[in-house]
Amino acid sequence: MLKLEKVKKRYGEFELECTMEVKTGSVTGIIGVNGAGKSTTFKAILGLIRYDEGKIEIMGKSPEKLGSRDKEEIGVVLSEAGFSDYLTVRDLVPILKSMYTKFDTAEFLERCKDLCLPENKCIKEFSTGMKRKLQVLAAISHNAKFLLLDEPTAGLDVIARDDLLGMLREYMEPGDRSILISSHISGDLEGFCDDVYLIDNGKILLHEETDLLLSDYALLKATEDQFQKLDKKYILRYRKEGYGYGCLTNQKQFFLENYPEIAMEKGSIDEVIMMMSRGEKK
Amino acid sequence: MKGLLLKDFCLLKGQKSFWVGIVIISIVFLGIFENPAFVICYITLMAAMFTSSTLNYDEFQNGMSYLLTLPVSRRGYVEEKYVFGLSISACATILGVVFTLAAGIVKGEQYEKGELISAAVAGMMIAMVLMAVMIPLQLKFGAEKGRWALFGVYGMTLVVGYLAIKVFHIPFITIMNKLDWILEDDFAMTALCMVMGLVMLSISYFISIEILKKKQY
Repeated sequence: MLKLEKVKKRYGEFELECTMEVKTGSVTGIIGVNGAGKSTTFKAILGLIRYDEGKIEIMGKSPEKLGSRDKEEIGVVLSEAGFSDYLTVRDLVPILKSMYTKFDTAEFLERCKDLCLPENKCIKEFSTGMKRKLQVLAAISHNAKFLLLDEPTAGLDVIARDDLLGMLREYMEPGDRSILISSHISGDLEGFCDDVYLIDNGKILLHEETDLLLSDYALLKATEDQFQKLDKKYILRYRKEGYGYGCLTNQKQFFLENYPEIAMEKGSIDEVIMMMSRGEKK
Repeated sequence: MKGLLLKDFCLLKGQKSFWVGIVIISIVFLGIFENPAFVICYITLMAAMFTSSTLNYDEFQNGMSYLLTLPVSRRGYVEEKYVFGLSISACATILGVVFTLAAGIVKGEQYEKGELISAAVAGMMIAMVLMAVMIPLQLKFGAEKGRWALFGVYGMTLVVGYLAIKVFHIPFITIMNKLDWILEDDFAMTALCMVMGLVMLSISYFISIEILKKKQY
């Protein structure tokens, strides 16, 4: 569905360097702190910015070659952009209907009702959560094959976040659809994505299947002495801590069997991000 | 394009108080002024200015980047702005003429057909020139800087005009006198104004497309 090969984009000091893939039928997440390069990646994929090097292929075409018909197959939520605040939900219906041949008016309005989105209020009067729900709803109401969602859960409370992820799970049910979703909150993506890319300072630090990340990754909490004796071939990153060294591994079982005395914390995406971005390489 | 046109008409519909204000001011002007040209040009100009407002709305809170992710091409976006601007300006001109005729009936005055046509043509001409300058400037520099750039263009035009007459001694008055027959011929004048307006809009349209193609969001 999407391929980025050594895509580079420079903004002054900042440089994005990204290689990634989203397969048909899968949900891929991009996790990184604010300013890591998530939105720049989305903008490059959508042709909103030009990239300096590399190759992007979205549904078999480069972003600048995407025509209106191709764009009908894509649903987009951008982190800091959306419909004009001066429009109402009722205004959006004819607009979206004339833009998307497969726009489902009845479903859109019904879901708006379910999500308590008032039809006649200007969008500027909506809360952040309501705006996000509306954008996601617009993105999934025209039978798109691919959703590109940049921080769709930003600023949402737990319930709104759950509603939104529920909508996206339902969207994925047919099986031939894909989602690329970004967030700086790992909890959003842990239970939702098939695979995740960790991005920091414009670089992809890690790509891993979420299941593996949660089952095989762990944080070892070794004392100074334990760290010196540790076989470091499966240590991805380490960091000096008050108790000795924190070590990230992707071979939890190896350490469980060979170093049962070392304290171990189950892998979480947050820990992995922290260690991959702030830890030292062995 | 239809979707974008609908969006702009929805934005236009949402500005009811702005349009009611313009209608009230027009009615006041119709009561004050004998010459119908003023009101017709005023309404047309306000409508053309609203095209600039729709660009502001689109730009507000990064709206443009979102719009360009919808099934809309950059060329399509530019086309829509010119079509929208011309459509509402033409509608405003017709409305201005209708208001003027209505005022004439109320006041017991009868305006000459030629006078009304000249006013409508002048209104449309001003609207076209305004859009031709304003749209590319706003696409290039954004709402705030675009406004300053517009003042800059007007200033430059005055300076160039001044230099042309005072420094380079280009005989504009002699040229205008030679073209007097056009000013006296309603049809020739209408045709000339429309052609000039459309040529300016066409040039402006191609510049706008190039600006938007290069712009990054």
